[in-house]
Amino acid sequence: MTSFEKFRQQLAAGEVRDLAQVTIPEKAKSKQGHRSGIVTRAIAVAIDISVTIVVMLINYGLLWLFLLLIAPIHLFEMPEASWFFFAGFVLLWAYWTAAWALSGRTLGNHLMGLQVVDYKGKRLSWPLSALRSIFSMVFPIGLLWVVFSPTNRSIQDTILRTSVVHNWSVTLNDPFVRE
Amino acid sequence: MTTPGEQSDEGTGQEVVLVVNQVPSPRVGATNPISGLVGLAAGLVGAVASVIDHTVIAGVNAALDRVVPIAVNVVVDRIDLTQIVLDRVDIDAIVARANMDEIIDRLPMVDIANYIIDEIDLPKIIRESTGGIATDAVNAARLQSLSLDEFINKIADSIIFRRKGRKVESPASAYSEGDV
Repeated sequence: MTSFEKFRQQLAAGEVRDLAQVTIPEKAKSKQGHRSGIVTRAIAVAIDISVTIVVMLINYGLLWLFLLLIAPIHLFEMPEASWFFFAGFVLLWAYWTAAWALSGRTLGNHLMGLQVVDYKGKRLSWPLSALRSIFSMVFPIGLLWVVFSPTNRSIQDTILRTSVVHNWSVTLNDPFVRE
Repeated sequence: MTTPGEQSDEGTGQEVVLVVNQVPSPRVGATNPISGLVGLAAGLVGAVASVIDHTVIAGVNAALDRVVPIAVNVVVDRIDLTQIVLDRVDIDAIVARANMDEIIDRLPMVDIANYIIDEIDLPKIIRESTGGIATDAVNAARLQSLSLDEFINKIADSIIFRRKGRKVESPASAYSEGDV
């Protein structure tokens, strides 16, 4: 049994290294920091896209309600669906850019325990993040290269020298949780 | 049924008669002067004995009050009481018989609990264990997709006859501390 005194000493001496590691399942501990495979990444992307779609649907509903209440009846007309598609595209681009630049994680990444890092293993800069984001959106099929890449990288990752790694503990590299 | 008022009226009207039996005192010896003297002498002796008794006891007590603490101090100074207790007393047995409930009742348990939570930084552990959201379900989903990843990688590797395996280690500092 560890007394408080002992625990404090160990913490001061750096023997108790990372409390977050305690809670990662044994099987996954050796995978931390490794580049992720296609399934995990695809699920993360699917989650992000789903969130965007839900947000756009809510926007659609709110706009409909707003027009119904405000606009004169003969002017009541919803914008074309393509506008919503475009708005959703921009929204997802902005979201991915901000998320990767700020914490390296989108909501989907959070759920799947992934983090996007650059070639040094640090968080992406804003320009790089924006570039990777737009690249991923106009060329989504590039993700499939993960299956055959010798380093588990998508086309985007290969060109921009980024990686998507497993990082199941939140504290590390996360500015929002850092003490 | 009577009201309290009526009851008090009746009470004043009642008479209480006390009947006392007068016991005749024995008059033995009253007429005999010798036996009276003997009784007197006996009483005197008893009184003197009592006074002496009290005086002696008080004196002895006073003496003991002074001597005993000094003597005990001298004795205790010469022996290692702690060691004797440790050697001879079964402390476990004493603790086993102690009433822990009463001790615990007197402890500030909430303060202690808060102290423990602060010391081990429980909120941090919870936060990190959950990864914000994670429950066992999230961990299970992550583990499953992890093994699916490996399964698909294995198939892809065998299709393109890759024998060396993949190099999936991340860039050097991806999973190190102090990385901002």
